[in-house]
Amino acid sequence: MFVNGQQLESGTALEYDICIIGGGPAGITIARELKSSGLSVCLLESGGRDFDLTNQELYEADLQNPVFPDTMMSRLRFFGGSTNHWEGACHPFSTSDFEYRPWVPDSGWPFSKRDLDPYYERAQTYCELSSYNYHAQDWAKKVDIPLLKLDPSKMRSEVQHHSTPTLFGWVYEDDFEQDVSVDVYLYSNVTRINAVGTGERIESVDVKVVRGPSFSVSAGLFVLATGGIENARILLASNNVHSDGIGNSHDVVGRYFMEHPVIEGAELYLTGTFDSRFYDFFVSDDRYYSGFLSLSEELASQRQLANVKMTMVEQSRYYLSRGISSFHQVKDDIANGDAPDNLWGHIGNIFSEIDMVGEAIYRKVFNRKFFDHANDKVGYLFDVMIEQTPDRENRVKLSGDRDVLGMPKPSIEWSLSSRDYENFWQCLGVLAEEVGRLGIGRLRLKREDKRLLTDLLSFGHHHMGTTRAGTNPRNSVVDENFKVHDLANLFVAGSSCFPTGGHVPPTLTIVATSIRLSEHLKSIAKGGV
Amino acid sequence: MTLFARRRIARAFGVLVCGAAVAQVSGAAASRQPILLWDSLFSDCLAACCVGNSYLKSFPCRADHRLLLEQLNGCFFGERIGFCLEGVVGAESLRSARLKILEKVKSDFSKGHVVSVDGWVLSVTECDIFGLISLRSA
Repeated sequence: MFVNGQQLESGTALEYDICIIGGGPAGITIARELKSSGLSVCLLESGGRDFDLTNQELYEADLQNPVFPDTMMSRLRFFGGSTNHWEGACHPFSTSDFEYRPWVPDSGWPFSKRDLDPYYERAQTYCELSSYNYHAQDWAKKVDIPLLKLDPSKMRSEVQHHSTPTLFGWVYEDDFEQDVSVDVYLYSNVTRINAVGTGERIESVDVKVVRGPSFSVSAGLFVLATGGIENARILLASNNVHSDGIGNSHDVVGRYFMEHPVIEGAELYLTGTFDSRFYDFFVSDDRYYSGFLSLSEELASQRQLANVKMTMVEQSRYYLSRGISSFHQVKDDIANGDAPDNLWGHIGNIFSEIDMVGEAIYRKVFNRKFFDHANDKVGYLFDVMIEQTPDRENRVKLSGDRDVLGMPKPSIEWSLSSRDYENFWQCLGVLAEEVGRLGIGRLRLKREDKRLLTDLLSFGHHHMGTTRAGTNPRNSVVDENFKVHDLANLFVAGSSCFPTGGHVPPTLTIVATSIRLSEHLKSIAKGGV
Repeated sequence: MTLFARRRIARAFGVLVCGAAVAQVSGAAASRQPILLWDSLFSDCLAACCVGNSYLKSFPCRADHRLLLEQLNGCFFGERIGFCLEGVVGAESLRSARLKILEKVKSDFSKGHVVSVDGWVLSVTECDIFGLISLRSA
């Protein structure tokens, strides 16, 4: 049942068996799993059922690194959370992602891929995907498209499933509409988690509605599921018992913040032909799939590399032209009133490829398509998504500024380490050797391109690691069941619990770990909340 | 050098460098023979020189005409068959030489014998041949 928090009376005290904070994929999954458990459950959602700018602005953060994407754009604060604008790419983490890898500091999950496999299988249904099969060979055979004949000791082809994408709010709202066992409170922002005694147990949470009432919710168990930045923010801001916040006795909350940086780092110029259909979108039984390249686990282990996801993007010769690229850069700089850097270099590029620049302008002016000729398709760009190494210094802290609810805004410190950067080039080096060996083409790395960490850098908008799971409280916040260390009844869900971020999108793993958590919550509840 | 030219150069790596090398070994002028022996891909010989120049600047120890020739002879022309003056070269021999070069390039990539030139990741063998073309043109 949906309840509009704006219509509650101020001072209302609600009581439930389980209180879930956050109505994104993690919160909705847990609430659905608990529906038939016989427990009274509430879900507190910050937004409504549609986009609302007032609530969205609560995501505003102080970004210490200007290249880091605006958090107001990367997340959505209404029922369904950021699944309201996700792309739908799904892939489970690799076996090695869960293992301790000596060359990846602070790596290793407190459970294995095998432990999570049954939940991944169930997560497929949540994300409206087909069977839990991620073997590229099987799919290639099924759709009769050849894979690249990569050296299996070096690289592998992988396949990802594409959700429609499932907008969790829209798809699952009917489940909650008439259900009396789960109350979904809209416009309800948790501003503080209240611990009792010396802070080993949570009693209630304070909830505020923007320009509306304040109320509280007491429960036997609490689940924090508000995303990688907000989970840390709420824990840090709940400092009435411990000044450093809840679950933060070892100064780990908010640290180890990870993203999935994506760098357009290489261009492939074809010297031969190859069938690239598997590495573009392909369809099987009305569902979409796409292939990508990554390192073999064997090579990653041998060379002590973190993995990457290399996606091929077919390009016309216009996109690959440095002359046209320079033309755009100079044009943009002038339009912005800036003096172009390296003006003579750009002019040189433009004149050396004046034929291309002229033709591109002609096509633009006369509205001609860029793929008019077969010859236009001359190569591929590689968008490379990097598994970022956990780093204590990348972190979410509290800013001195406050939002309209009086909550400290998050302050985000993020950078890409030189180690990650070097790892990225080494992975591309392996790719270059493979495409050369296969006679497909030659790779040109953009190592010297000054735009590499600005214009050519984008992000997966995946916020991970700020309440990482582990067995040691000195470098983790939650245990193997995602329960906050030293707290009896506070759990965290979502990608903030990931100790490492893998090289694939996190949503399927968020859903799988949330199903696993809900099973644990049910087992605890059976023993008495 | 246009991008289209670069693409064609990339496509022509094996063929182009083989022709130039043949010319070197046979003593014929690189600019004269290949067009007859191979195809229009050699219109991008200038691009090969550019890459060769950059390679030799990055690896000055390779900027030695004799050294490069010896390397390449050792690799492909140890038998010294078929490569004669004035382009009087049997088609079978050329085909064979080309195949040998392509195999060596493939083997270079397999073994990680690669170098980076202007961002390109190229096999050492093809770079040696580009270097040779560049030295010959200088």
